[in-house]
Amino acid sequence: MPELRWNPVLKRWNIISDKRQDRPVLPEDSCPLCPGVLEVPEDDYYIVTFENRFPALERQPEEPNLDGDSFYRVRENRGVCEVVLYSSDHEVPPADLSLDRMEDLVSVWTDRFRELSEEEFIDYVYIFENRGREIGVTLDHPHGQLYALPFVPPLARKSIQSAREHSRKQDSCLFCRIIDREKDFADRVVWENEDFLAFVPFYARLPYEVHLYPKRHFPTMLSLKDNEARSLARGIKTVLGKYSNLFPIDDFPYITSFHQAPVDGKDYSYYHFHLEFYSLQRAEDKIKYRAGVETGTSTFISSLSPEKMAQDLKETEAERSDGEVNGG
Amino acid sequence: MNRTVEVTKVDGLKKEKVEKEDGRLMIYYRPREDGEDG
Repeated sequence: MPELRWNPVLKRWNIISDKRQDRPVLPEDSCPLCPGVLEVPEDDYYIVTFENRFPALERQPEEPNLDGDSFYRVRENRGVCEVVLYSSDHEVPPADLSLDRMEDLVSVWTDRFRELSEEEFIDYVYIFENRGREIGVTLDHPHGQLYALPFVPPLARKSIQSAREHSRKQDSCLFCRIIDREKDFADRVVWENEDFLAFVPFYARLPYEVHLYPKRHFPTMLSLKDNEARSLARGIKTVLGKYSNLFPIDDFPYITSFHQAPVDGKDYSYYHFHLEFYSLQRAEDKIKYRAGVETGTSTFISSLSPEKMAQDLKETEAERSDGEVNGG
Repeated sequence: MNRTVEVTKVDGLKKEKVEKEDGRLMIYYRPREDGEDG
């Protein structure tokens, strides 16, 4: 039963993918992402991407097992799900990757974005990383993922709609305005350099949520200049380094989420590329669960003020005491 | 047996596309060595 089913109430596609039930969950005997075990036969590797063995979306999908109609719409789950291995070293957290390697990862993400955006059946390319067992990872090896979707997902659609309306009414970019407001206020800014600004947004939903915006306006990674790619790598390392040092725990759980314009051929020049980071760790020994209010109403309750979260992150060093992995 | 289908370059990286035995695409990205032209 791999297929997309339309929710006529919330007007969004859901992915039904029973193949993912077969995924290994935190195997203890060996890691399938380590070199020479399962996915990568070589004894060592630098950065590798591959199509997921248990994909939610497939290049050549099977026919859906049931017929839809104009109300209960059904589509084949055509798309691409890739895994990005950041390092062959199972033990190194992404925060400890060298700046050179992080910059190479930016090149790899951009390359995959470019190539997948050229597929005629793809409308949106989503790059993300789940880290930590509290987030729900099924494998601990340092890796991210990439979903190339045949539709624009709901949050992206809403964000794009807001950006389009702001552009039409104000003749300016919604996200550039947020950058200006956060720079003026300053108390929520966690880090910045000449190209990027990292801040806890005024409207943060989740613990230690950080947004990383390029100061220059462009809609996707494809417009990154060399110096901006380096700055983006430095910004990611800084946020992840602060996350890792924030509490004395082994593996700070977080999600890294890339937000880019769709690739469906329409004009999205008003959109502003950025990254968002979220955690569930609201204190050293406390997890924020997505419970009744969040799940049932999509209204988020934060027990930490954005200003307090920004202050905590500002006071936390980004440097990692364990040193960095050789970038190769 | 995995099969190399294309070798190109991306920024400072050598990019090797491989078709896995089961047909899935895999890509190795490696730092280019001095003088290596992808």
